[in-house]
Amino acid sequence: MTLVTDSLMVLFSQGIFFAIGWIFLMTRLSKDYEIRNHPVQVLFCLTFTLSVTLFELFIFEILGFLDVESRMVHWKVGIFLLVVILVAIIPFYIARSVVNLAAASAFPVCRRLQSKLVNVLAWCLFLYGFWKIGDPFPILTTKNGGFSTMDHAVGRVGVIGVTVMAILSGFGAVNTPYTYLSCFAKTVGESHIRLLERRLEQGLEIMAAKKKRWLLMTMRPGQDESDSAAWWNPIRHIRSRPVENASHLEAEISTMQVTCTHLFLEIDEFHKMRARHEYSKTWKGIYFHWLGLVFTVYCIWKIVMTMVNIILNRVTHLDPVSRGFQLAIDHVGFNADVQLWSQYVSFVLVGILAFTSIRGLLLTLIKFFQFSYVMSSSRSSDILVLSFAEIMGMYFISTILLMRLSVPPAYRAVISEVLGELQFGFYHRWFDVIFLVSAFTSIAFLYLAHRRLPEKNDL
Amino acid sequence: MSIDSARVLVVGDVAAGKTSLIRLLARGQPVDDAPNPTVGCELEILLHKYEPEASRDTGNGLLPAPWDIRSTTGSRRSEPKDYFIEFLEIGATHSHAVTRRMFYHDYSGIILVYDLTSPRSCQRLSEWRQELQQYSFEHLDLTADGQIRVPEVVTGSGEDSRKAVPSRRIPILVVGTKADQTNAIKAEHRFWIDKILNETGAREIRLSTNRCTDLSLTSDNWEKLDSFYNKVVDNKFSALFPSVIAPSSPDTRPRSYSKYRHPVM
Repeated sequence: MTLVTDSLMVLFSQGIFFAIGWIFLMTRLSKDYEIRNHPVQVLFCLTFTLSVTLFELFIFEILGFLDVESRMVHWKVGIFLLVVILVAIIPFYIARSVVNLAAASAFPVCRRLQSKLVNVLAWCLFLYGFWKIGDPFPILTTKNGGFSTMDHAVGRVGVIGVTVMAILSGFGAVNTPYTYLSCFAKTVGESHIRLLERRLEQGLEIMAAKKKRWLLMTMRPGQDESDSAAWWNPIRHIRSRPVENASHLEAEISTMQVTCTHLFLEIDEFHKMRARHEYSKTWKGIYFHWLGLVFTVYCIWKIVMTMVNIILNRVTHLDPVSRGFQLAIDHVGFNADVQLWSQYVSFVLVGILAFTSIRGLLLTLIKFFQFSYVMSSSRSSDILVLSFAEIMGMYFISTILLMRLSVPPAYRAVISEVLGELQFGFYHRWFDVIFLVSAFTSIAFLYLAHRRLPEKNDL
Repeated sequence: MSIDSARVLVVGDVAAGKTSLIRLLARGQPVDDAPNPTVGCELEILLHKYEPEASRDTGNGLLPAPWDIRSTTGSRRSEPKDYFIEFLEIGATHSHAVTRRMFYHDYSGIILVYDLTSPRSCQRLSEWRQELQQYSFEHLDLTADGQIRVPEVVTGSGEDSRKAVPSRRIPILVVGTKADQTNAIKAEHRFWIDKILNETGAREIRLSTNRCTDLSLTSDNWEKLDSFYNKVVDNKFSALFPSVIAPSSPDTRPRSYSKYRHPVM
């Protein structure tokens, strides 16, 4: 009976998560391209729901909420469904969308490819690649005899997810201080932007003049441009044969178009820089500035600690909560029920971690979507949304995996039991390595991008 | 003989088919493959033969408007004349929303493009019009050392670049694209389109950019398009405002920015 009531509660919360995912998809991600394909929407929201349910179940574990049996049932069902979606369903749809996209493209070779057979083949290729990824890594412990396919699948999902997590964390650890610290915020004067806009306008005028000349040339072949009064025409000195002239003009027009596009993007970057500078002067901006400072210190500390961990090959056995309490008891003489307090603190910690990682991932998705104006049709946006759903599912599973070391041993057991016989130590080490690599790469990348901007005293 | 030109802004939602539309209008041929999403703007030129009609039907039985009178001081001839129509298509990506406002000036016509298969693009038509209304500006004068000259009292001479421009209506054309796709729009979305048509007095065309039969010379669409071009030319080169819209070279055209006057649309 308790199973039924507990399941109803979990399902109710899942309904809320589904609605949140749907609203997020429709309002924040659909700014440019409408995402109308129903399977895509449903898959994205389903993945989001199942992932957040895992966090919720973990929090329930810590609080001791709901019945142990029903929690275990929901854990198993949730993980199973999520892995099935991530490994089987979403790749199938991605393969189908890619095949559709290729079929709709200009290449006649690809057009003939549109068939269910190719779809299934692509999917099998993905599954094979997915399996092969896990081979070089010591994912599973060989302590116990048999492992199931579930464990294999979860292990590989964990590897990919941890890699994505580490890359995003590394980049975030470097980029967030960079964005928030005002001293990095170089600004551009309004006159500089106006100058560039004027230059773009002049470029457009020149391109318009060339196109007009090209039009007249192709409409009346052989007749030379008789308006010598058109003194602004920059090509009037060309008196060669009209055919050569026309193709020469076409080349010039396309170069001009490329120049104008780049100029526009530069102007856009400067507008955004100005907006950031304006924002940093407001109260919210100042608040985030100080928050950024604190965060910078934390990020630097984390990078240093990770380096130390790898170099010294240290494995931390004690989680932050227990260590914090130990310090409190030793130095401050904190004398309360450690068990109860560690429960609350773990709950708060896990809650914060879950919330920030969900929010962080969703914000990253939005930023990625804004930069994806290379997509030329709604079909490509389907592929993008599906890949995001895949990455999101893997990301959240690995977050749960890695959170194992953040909570006291009492709560670790459930993760070990649910996720199977995985060698958790490997995942942490792998995370550290990729985190460092990503952090240093982002530092180099941001430094290069920063040097490219105009100096303040030049403007 | 120099040919005057008038600029038309083409705006609409992302992937509505604006770039394909201007290429179809300018070249008369449908595009082969879908163009890349526009970053910034795209420019196409069309040579339009302006045919002044002897009696322009004003539709309400009144005398023809003052600018229809063929006066000797007017800048228009009574014989057909060639004009260049510049289509400036603005990229609609959300992240460039602030930067694309730099293109909202010196235009004499607007084409609002919506996608027949997308209800959202119908709803956003009025938002586009409001954005144009809010952020359009006219050029100011710029002194020799680059300072912006504060506008002075109008002196009434023709060379003043900042004459008080009486508000004039800018002609609008509404175009629905992707008519060849079968999942056409539902009835309740007509509400948005009819709202725009009623508010602006614009006319509507529906076509597919994949075929040029929608714009054959005898079709209704062509007649609407032709009258739109004529209205654009009228708007720019009308006899009532000779000093403001004199075609000029890029160097002598005044260069600076200010929100001086919002054109009425």
